Amino acid sequence: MTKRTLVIDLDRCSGCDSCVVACKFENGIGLGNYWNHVKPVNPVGTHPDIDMYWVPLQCQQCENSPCVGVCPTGASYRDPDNNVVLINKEECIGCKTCLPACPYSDSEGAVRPSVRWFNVEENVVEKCTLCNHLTATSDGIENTADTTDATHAVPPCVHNCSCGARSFGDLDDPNSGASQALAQAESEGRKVCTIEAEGVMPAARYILSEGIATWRGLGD
Amino acid sequence: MIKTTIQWLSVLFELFAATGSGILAFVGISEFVGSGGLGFDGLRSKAHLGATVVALALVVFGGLLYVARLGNPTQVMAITRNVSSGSPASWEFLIYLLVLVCAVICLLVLRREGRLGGVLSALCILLALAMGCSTGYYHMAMIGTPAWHSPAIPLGFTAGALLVSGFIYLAVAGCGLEKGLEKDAKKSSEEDSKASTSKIMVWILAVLAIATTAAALFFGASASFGQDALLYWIAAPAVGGVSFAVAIVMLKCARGVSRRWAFIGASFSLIGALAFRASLWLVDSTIPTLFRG
Repeated sequence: MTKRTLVIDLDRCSGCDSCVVACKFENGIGLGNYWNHVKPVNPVGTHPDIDMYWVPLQCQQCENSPCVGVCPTGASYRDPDNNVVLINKEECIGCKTCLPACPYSDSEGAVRPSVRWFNVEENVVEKCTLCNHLTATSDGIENTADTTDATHAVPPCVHNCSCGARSFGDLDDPNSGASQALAQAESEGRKVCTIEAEGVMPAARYILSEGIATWRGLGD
Repeated sequence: MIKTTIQWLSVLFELFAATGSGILAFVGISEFVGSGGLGFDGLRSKAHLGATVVALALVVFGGLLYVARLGNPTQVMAITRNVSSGSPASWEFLIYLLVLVCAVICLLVLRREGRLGGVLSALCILLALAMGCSTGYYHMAMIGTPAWHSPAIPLGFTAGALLVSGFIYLAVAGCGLEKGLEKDAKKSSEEDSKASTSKIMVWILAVLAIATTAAALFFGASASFGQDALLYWIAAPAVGGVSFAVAIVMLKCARGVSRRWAFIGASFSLIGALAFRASLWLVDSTIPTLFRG
C-alpha cells in the first residue's frame, strides 16, 4: 500500500522557515494561518556541550488517522489512490471535531505549531495535503531539470528547502526520494525517529545524528 | 502558555440537549413510579405536560445552539447525510434527533391521552441515558486529547444532566401538582401519593448527585488544569456536593415536593454540570509539551 510522507533530515535543517514560506505561497494561506511550522527544540546542556535542533512539523499522515474517524461529514478522508490524508473543503462544516482528535493540533486550530488550522473566513479546517494537487500522480523523485514535470513533482516545501533537508515519496517504494533518504541515513548509522503520540503511527520520519543532538522529540 | 478557548456553543448544546431529554426521562420514571391506582392521574397529566413543554424547549434551544456552532443550517444537513459514518459527532446528532422527535411525540400523547404509557416512558429513559452518554463519548473518543480518555466523562455528563433534569422536573411538575391540589383541599390521598412519588425522585437525585461528584473528582484527579485548577475544584465537584445536600434536605421535608428547594437544587446542579463540561476545555489538550513555550 502506498505510504506517502515527508522525511526530514534534522542534521541539515537550519530553521530558516523556507518550507513555511513555500507552503503559504503555494497554497495561498492567509496571514496568521500555517500548515507547517519549524519548531526549535531549545538548547540543553552547558557550553560547549550544547545541543539543539529544529523540528519542521506538519500533518504527520498518520496510519491510524483519528481525524478521519471522527469527522461527521466524511470531509476528512484518505485519498484512495495514494493514501494521503486530506480534507474536502466542500464537505467540511467547520465543526472542529477533528481538532481535539488530532494529537498534533490544538483544540481551536489557532495556535502554532498546530498542524491543523481553522480558516475563519471559509469556516473550514485546513492542513498540509503534501500538495496533492501537484503530486497526486508523482513518483516522488524530483526531476530537477524540469520542476513542472507532474510525474516527478515534489511539494514546494521540499523543492524550496534551502538546506536540502526534506525528501518526499512513498515509503513502500524503495526508489522514492523518501525511501532513499531513509536508506542512506540507516547506512550511515543515523537515527530515524517519529513523533509518536497516542498510537496514531505517524508516517513522517525525522533523521538525526547523535553527533548533532540527542532526539528529544518536540522538546521539554 | 496558550490561552485555551472553551467552545461554549458546544458545551451549552450538550448540556441543554441532555437536560431536556433528562426531563423526559423523569416524566417517564414518574409514570412508572407514580402509577398503581394512587388516584392523581389528572394532576399528574398537567404536571407532566408542563415538564414536557420545558423539556422540548430545552431540546430545541440546544439544537439552535448546535446550528449556531456550525454557523449555517445547511451544515447540519451535511451531518444528517452522513449519520452512518460512525463518528462520535454523528452518534451525538442522531440521538439528538431521536430525542427531539420523542419530545414532540410525548407532548402530543400527553395532550391527547394524559399519560405516556410504558413503552414511551421506557423510550424516554433510554434516550436520556443515550443522549448523556453520547455527549460524553464525543469527548472520550478524541485520541488527540489524552485527558479526555476517561469513562468519568460520559458518566459525569449523564449523571450531571439527569441531576439538573430531576430538579427541574420537580420544580415544574411540583408546581403543577401544587396548583391542582390547591383547587381541592380534600385530596389528602393525592398529597400522600405526591409525597411518596417525589421522595423516590429525590432519592434518585441523591444517587445522581453522588455519581456526578464522584465522576468529577475522578476526572479532576487525573487531569491537569494549570491556572484554572481553582475554578474546576470549586465549581464541578463542590457544586455536585451542594446538590446532594439539597436532595437530603428535600428528603427531610415532610412533604416531598418543595419547589423552593427544587429551584435551589436545579441552580446548583446546573452550575456544576456547566462547570464540569467547560473544565474539559481547560485541561492540557495535546502532547503535553507541544504548545508550551
